Amino acid sequence: MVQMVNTLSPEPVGPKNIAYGHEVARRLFDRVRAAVRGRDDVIELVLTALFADGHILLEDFPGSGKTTLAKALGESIVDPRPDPERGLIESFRRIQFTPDLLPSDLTGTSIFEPNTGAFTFRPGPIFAHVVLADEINRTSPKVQSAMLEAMAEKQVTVDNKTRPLDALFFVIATQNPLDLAGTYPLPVAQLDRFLFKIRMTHIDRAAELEVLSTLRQRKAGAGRALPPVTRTEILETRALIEEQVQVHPMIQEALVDIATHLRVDRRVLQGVSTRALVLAVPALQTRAMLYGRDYVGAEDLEALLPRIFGHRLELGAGATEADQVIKAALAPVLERLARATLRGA
Amino acid sequence: MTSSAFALSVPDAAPPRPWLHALVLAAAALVLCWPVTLASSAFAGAAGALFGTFLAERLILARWRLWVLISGSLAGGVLGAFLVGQLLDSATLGELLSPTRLLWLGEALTYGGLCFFGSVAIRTLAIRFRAALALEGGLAVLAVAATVSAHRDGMIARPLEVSDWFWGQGIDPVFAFLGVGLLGSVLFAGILAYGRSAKRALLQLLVVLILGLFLALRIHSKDPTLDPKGAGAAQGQEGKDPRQGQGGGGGGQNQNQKPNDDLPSNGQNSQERPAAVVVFHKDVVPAAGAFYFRHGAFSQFNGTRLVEATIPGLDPDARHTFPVELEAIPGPQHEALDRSEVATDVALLTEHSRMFALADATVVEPMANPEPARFRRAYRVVSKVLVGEYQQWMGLEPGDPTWDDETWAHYTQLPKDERYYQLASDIKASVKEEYQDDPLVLALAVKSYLEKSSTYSFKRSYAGTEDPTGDFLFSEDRRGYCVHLSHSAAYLLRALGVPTRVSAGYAIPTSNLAGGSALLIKQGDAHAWAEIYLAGLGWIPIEVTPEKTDVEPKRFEEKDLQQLLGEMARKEGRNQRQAASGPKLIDLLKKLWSYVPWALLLALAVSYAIKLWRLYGPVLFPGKKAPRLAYRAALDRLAMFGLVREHGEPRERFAQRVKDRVPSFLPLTQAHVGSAFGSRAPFATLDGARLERLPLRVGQELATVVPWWRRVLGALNPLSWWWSR
Repeated sequence: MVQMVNTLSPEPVGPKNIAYGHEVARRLFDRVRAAVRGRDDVIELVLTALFADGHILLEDFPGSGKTTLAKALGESIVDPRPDPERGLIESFRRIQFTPDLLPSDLTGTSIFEPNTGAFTFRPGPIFAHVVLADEINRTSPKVQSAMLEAMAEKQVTVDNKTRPLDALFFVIATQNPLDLAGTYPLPVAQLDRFLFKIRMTHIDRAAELEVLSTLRQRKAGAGRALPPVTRTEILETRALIEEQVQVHPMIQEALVDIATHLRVDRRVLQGVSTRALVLAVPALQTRAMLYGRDYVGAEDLEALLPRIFGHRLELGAGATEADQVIKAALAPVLERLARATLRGA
Repeated sequence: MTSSAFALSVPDAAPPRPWLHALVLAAAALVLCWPVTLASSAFAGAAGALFGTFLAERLILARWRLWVLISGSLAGGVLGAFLVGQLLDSATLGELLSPTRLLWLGEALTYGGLCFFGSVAIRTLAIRFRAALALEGGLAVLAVAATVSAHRDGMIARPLEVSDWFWGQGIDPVFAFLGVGLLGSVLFAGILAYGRSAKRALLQLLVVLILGLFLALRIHSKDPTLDPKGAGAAQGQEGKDPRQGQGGGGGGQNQNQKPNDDLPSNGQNSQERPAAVVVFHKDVVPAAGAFYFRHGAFSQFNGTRLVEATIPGLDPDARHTFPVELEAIPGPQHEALDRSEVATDVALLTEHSRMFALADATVVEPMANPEPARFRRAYRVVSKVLVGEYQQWMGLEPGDPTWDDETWAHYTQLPKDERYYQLASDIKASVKEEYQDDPLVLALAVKSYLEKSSTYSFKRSYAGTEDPTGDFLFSEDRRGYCVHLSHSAAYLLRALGVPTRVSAGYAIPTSNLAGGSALLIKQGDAHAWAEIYLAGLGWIPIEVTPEKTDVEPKRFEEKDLQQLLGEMARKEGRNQRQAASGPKLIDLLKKLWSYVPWALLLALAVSYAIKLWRLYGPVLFPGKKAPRLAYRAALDRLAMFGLVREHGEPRERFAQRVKDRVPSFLPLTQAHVGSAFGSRAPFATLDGARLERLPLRVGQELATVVPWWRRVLGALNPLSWWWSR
């Protein structure tokens, strides 16, 4: 993404062009990057999930910049619509999950107003463009389910009334991989709702130095000077990706073949679901768009599938690295795919 | 495009193939155990190796340290051996089972356990370090080589278990063994290549096959027994190399200096090598107790030793040139008493420079080679073999009544050394007075005296002196071998006035016939013996066999080989059809082989044509398939210099990888991949450059980064396109 360039022909930028989406993503990337240093790869994946209409689970240690990232993302998306149309949707909300949290703390609740004598709905923190669900494994399964349902359905039900969430509802959940005492780890079935699970490692020395040296600028809000992205632009880009980025039948076949390979692998207890494949398609399309292409290529499969499938596999005893298993399943399929292109139709 | 931090490097992981390794190790265990133990234990060993291999596959998943695994399996082997020992020694088991069963069980447990723990150790090592795979291959090769090594030096009947079966099928086991070796190499190459690239595996197999074919033909056309060094050493060893003039003790001993020194190192091997097979047409029991095959007679004393007679007409029976037609051999044997006529077919297994024939030959005749693949030459000899008992010839006069004085002098010459006469008269004095003029009795007295007083030995050499025979005869302990013994007997008898000569050739005990009619002659059977002439009887052998010896007695163990070769020698046209089928196949193979260079040349031309077409076809004739073919042309150019996409690597990442060296390849890749995957504007990345010119530009860019010698090599490589993918 650092060298993200538009390699397509310089046609006029309009709402119906890949280059348009590419430009939107570029703007968003630059703004987030101004706030978060040394995490370009994570930003790329977060943007992929955002445009692919998926959610993301970050597995990392406290102080690794996840709140900064989510906040920068939320602040980069503006909603210029007037209030009534917009409802009470905020651009960014953070929810700290604790064991005593209740579902209504997320969704909001109806409050009696003595002035009018009626109940009015006070929306919870879930009504936002970007929601940071911090330490999601610390809360009870009840709250987890409510959250995951909201993520899947994009709506919440309060007092028997179903209220839709914003179309651009994007969750960045986090969990601490080490401190597991008193937690409710998410089962594989629930992990399935997240498009990516990203395990963040410590950033390298140069990046860390850069974080320190740019501390003052970033405090002063260097990113805010950069042009933001509107909610509409993101929704348009989503539509455009779905419409314009080609997924060739060969790519679809490869996707299914890889899933089959994973399902028959002896090291895998439970293979990937069909939903995973369905979710993978927009993610692959988004990555193609981010790299300025109007077709999904083999390299998209190679780059994204370990991220998409990694947390959806249940491995048998003896196998510890899902990445190794996925790599083994990818290699023959990618080789066949590469050869198929030379053979021609 | 950038490779993100999550970009995967797809390893060239070869998936485990336990069954293939298990098969190889089990077969190796079976073959190695077979000759040293019971058949059941050999199968137990194979089963042990099989289980060991599969256990190793499991163990290696347990993530234990390698040294733990290796030392664990070794300790397991030692512990197992100890436990088996304890078990077999225990009284209760002894009572339960019969001794045979106990032996059976012990052997099976021992070999099964040995192979089990051995294969665990070898497999774990080989899984962790691919280089240790060589150990496994080495074991397989060793197993085959150890089995087949008994087959060398013309011992075509060994190993019995294997060759018997093949002979039964009418197949020469040499080809079978070559086939086994070839199969082994193919299998091993298969293991090495398996799981990588089908193309590479195919190529390796092809190379192995061609090499194997080449070796098979080489080995077939060049019999190892032809090796002149080995044959020379074997012949020279007992001083009977015909070119060296073996007659005189001195001559023989001079020659023997070297062979004697050589004996411990090369002796056994060449001694055991079969030299010829003789088929008897009739049963005969020779008087001497052995069959004497003569290829030369030495009767003329030249001052230091006996050599072949230079006077024409003497020793006419000692013919040594091969016959070209039916030829009679002149000599006294024709009219002699007590001789039985017998015809023999001789088939030579090694090249001989002199013909030898069963004594005493009357007629020789060339013969069609019954098995050209096996024998060098064949001829038929009719001999009059001396039969009867030596006693019945007592009282016969020495020499021939027709001899003149010159002939008499010729057969009774000896060194002018008083000691011979002294010793001879001492021996004569020990004989009863009434027999003191009987040549046969005198000869037997000399024989018996020498047998009692000397020791058979190869350890002493009497080389380089005036009279080597005297040095032997008048030494304290009289250590020497047939050359010395026969010369001593000849000189002593000549001193007593008995006409004597030394003959050389092969001597085989009659017992070797073992009831059959074929006789195997080995190089170690070479011999020299003394002969006296009795009137009316001709030359009769006087064999001196010392009672003491420091040489290991010869044992005859090649009955099967003898029988087998006899059968082959006997074929002679009777089985022409079968004999012809062998050479026919070889001829066909040779003919095929002669086409190989042309086929290679044709293949070379075709692959250059393909290479050129793929490189320049899309440039010269751009068409509908342009992006694909132009991309392939560029890919071929990269492959020429070893820049090849790895297995499972997407084309885009490959393009990224070589981008620094070959920038033009990237837009070409994008155009190709884009049009393959349905991009609406696949050529947008070309920036207006013409697609069909891009391969040429790739070539130019490569020329700037690749050294000139690599460019030449790449351009010459006819198969570079084979690697582009």
